[in-house]
Amino acid sequence: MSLLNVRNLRTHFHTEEGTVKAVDGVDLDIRPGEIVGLVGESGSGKSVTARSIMQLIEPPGEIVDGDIEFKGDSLRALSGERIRRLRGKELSMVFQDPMSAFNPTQTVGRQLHDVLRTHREGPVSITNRLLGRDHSPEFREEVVEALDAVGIPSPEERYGDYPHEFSGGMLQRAMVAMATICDPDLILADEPTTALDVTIERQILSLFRDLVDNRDAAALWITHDLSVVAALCDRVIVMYTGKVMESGPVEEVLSNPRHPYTEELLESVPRYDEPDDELHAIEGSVPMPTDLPPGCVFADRCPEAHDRCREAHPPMYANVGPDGDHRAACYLLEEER
Amino acid sequence: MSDSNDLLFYVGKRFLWAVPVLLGASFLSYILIHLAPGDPAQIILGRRATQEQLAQLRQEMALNKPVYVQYWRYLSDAAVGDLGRSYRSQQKVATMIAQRLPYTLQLAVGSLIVALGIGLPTGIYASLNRNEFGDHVSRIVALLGISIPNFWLGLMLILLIAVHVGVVPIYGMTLVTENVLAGFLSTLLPAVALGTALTALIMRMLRGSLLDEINKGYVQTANAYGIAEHEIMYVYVLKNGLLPTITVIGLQLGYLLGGSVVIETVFGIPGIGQMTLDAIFKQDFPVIQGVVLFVATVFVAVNILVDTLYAFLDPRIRLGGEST
Amino acid sequence: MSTVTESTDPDSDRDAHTERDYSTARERVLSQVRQSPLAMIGASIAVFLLLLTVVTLVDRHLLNRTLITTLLHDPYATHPENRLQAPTLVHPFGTDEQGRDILVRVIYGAKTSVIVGVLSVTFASIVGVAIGSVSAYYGRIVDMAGMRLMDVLLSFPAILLAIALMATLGRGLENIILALGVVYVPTFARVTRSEMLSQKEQEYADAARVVGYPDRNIILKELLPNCLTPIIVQATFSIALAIIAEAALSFLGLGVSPPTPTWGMMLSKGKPYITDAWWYMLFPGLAIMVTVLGFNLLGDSLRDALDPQEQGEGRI
Repeated sequence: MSLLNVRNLRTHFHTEEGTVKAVDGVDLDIRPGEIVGLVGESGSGKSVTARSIMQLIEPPGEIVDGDIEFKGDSLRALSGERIRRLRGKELSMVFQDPMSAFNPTQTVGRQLHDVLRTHREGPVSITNRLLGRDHSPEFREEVVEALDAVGIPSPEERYGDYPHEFSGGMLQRAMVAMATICDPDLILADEPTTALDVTIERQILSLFRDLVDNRDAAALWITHDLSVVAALCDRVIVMYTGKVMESGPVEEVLSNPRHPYTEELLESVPRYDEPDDELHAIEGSVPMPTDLPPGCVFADRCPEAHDRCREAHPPMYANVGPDGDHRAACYLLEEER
Repeated sequence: MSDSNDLLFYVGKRFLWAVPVLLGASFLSYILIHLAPGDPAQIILGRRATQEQLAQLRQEMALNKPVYVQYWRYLSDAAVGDLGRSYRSQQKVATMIAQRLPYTLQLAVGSLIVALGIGLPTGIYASLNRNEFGDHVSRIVALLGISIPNFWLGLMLILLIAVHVGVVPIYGMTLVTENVLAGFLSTLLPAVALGTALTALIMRMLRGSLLDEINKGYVQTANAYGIAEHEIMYVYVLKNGLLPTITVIGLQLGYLLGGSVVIETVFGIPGIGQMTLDAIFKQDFPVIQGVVLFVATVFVAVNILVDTLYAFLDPRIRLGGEST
Repeated sequence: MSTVTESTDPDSDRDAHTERDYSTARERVLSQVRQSPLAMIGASIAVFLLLLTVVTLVDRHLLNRTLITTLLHDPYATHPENRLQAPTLVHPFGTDEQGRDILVRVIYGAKTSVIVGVLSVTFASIVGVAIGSVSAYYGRIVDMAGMRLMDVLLSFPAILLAIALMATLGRGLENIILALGVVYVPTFARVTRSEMLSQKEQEYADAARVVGYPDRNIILKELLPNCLTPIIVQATFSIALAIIAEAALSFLGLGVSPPTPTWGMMLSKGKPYITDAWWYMLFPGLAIMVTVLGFNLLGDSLRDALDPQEQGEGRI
């Protein structure tokens, strides 16, 4: 039974230069207990996908099509109030830049406290909030424990510190604490370690894995870094300009890629054990989002493209590998059958 | 809590800043007045004074000593509240200021009430209803507000009200301490005239900074974590958005004090502004000097207050120490 | 709230160009101004007033007022028999207490306001930008000294400082321009300093220093051109403020001497007749308001086009 089931998601942005199809027909599904990696270059639509799931898309953006089912409910059909109650409690998100994600004029502890209080007791009146009457010592305890659980030293003191008093890595841990404090079933993580040092990144990755395993939650981890996917995820989805190119179990996809794009991506990773290789780069560049080619979006850069590829975008072919749920959208796969 | 220590430290820093600025301001104003054309002895004794009388007075007033000596004497007197005597009336300048201060204060406070009372809610409303009809209307009104000269607005108000004589006084001012209703009515028109530009400024600034805040990351995060919309708006956004506006309001106190010169003239209010203007035409230098010094001191004090308030509300300032 | 697309390279927005792309900035401004009706109105008013100023200056000093006298009336000629007439076709704005046509006096009054506005701001911007740049670039003691000096100027309300300066300097056009210029120097110093501090951190500034460019060149040729946008926006708003300030000074009797008509002076002359001659109060004041509105509209649209981060509005 899927925790999250996304079918044919299309999120478009209506700009002066034209309509940007940031997400154009994406299917994805996440089961309880698994970490799914969402991989792609900048502009592939991975962030927009996550935001669409959270229903955070604002004009000029719009979800024009698709079903998003979370624990059986269709998120697009829910009222604003129901969505509000879901967010942070059953479905949470970790953002890329923690420094801009926190309110600079409130303590970190207070902000976590507010999330907890909102979901345990509901919204409070403005007067009470401004006077601080909503502050509860029990919640404070829980927040301190949560900060401790993510490895922040001296959590008691840190509760009263402001965001700019934290280092980037520590603040991101606090963000992870905020994302897990209400014990959500699904956590969406939008490139949370991209701006961090590699050593800090490793710590956060292992912290995250532990948290997810301990709570039996699931996660969608967005990144452009394949090595992170290899280290952390159970399954992987590869996106390119708004469409899914390939998806499947991590070991399977990384060792036996069935889509030329995935192959190219893997080729581009510099290998220290093959020092004589030239650095590989994918030819060409990402197309303008307002000016996508009619056929397969990757056709212009694909070393194996042929005429059929330029006519229409290929459908997704299932079971292209021996193991489990391996899919890829490439005409080459049809020819093999 | 370390917070209050940081705050005290910050206030201390501001005081340290204030001293050289005040010294500089007093020096600048002294030099300016000193360089103004006109012989003080002549002004005091009038045209019929003889040369001996003039020479004697100059000697008494130490007018022949070098500038810095005179300045030092003035400064040390001012420090204990002695701002000299008017050339024309021989009254103590400090007393003259004290007598007229309540009127100017009433005008300034009235204008501030008008500005905040109209400007704050409108600014908030405009930011919540961005690009809708109400927003456009308020933006145009605000634009007009900063484009109308305050003295002309005062004159136009007098013109309108004069048609229905007796409803609201168009001349003079009663203090609220003497008669609340009369005081209120007599301050109404001048306060609107003086406060309109400030109202418009607050509307524009508040709308701008609130819209800026709404687009910031932490608002999206709060939204993503299910914090209720009204809580986000009034607790998160408003508090952060109000901060730049507070600083501006503090600065604009100077505008209110300066604008009082003109408005008091238009409405015949016996305040400090009118006294200063009078002094200029009569070359009554101690009065001009005294008022300028007084106003500068008040202004610097208000600035420190506003900065402290800002530091209290925004922890980044008192901890990080970003200077303006 | 969400970004439009992630397609742009995350670093490209933070690229430090050696010079802002001038042609596109100009194009962007022009197209934005053309699109917004309010901006067009503001720009037209400003341009119209500038033209009017030039024409009336020529007429006053070179043609001895023949142009306006032939077209309408002589702004200086008194006709006591026509005093305080309500607006008619012959005198669309009515006449004043000496029988002079108010419309032509309003037209003639424009040049003083515009000249004072533009010249005082020119002075203030040159001096203010110089102080601000030097403070920002050399930092430390120079910065402290410069900004303390600006704080001293800022501790006086604008009008009061102007009045005090004029008490010392005396009356006359040049003195008004100088006095108001001094009053607005700190605003420009602050805006320049603030912008230059952030430009100084950009890599192109380091690059210039590394190749051994002398300081003066770095400030003038590299950093300053990139600071221009907020300065220009501020200048437009300051012109609006200066025009109001000049009118206030004239109204108080501290402006230019007669017989030159200025809008503020006309309002002060007309005040005793306020209940009898409403036109005397209305039209000069309306002229001030429309002029100031024009410059404020222009400033608003320039700011929307050039400077996405809204800066302060300066001293009223």
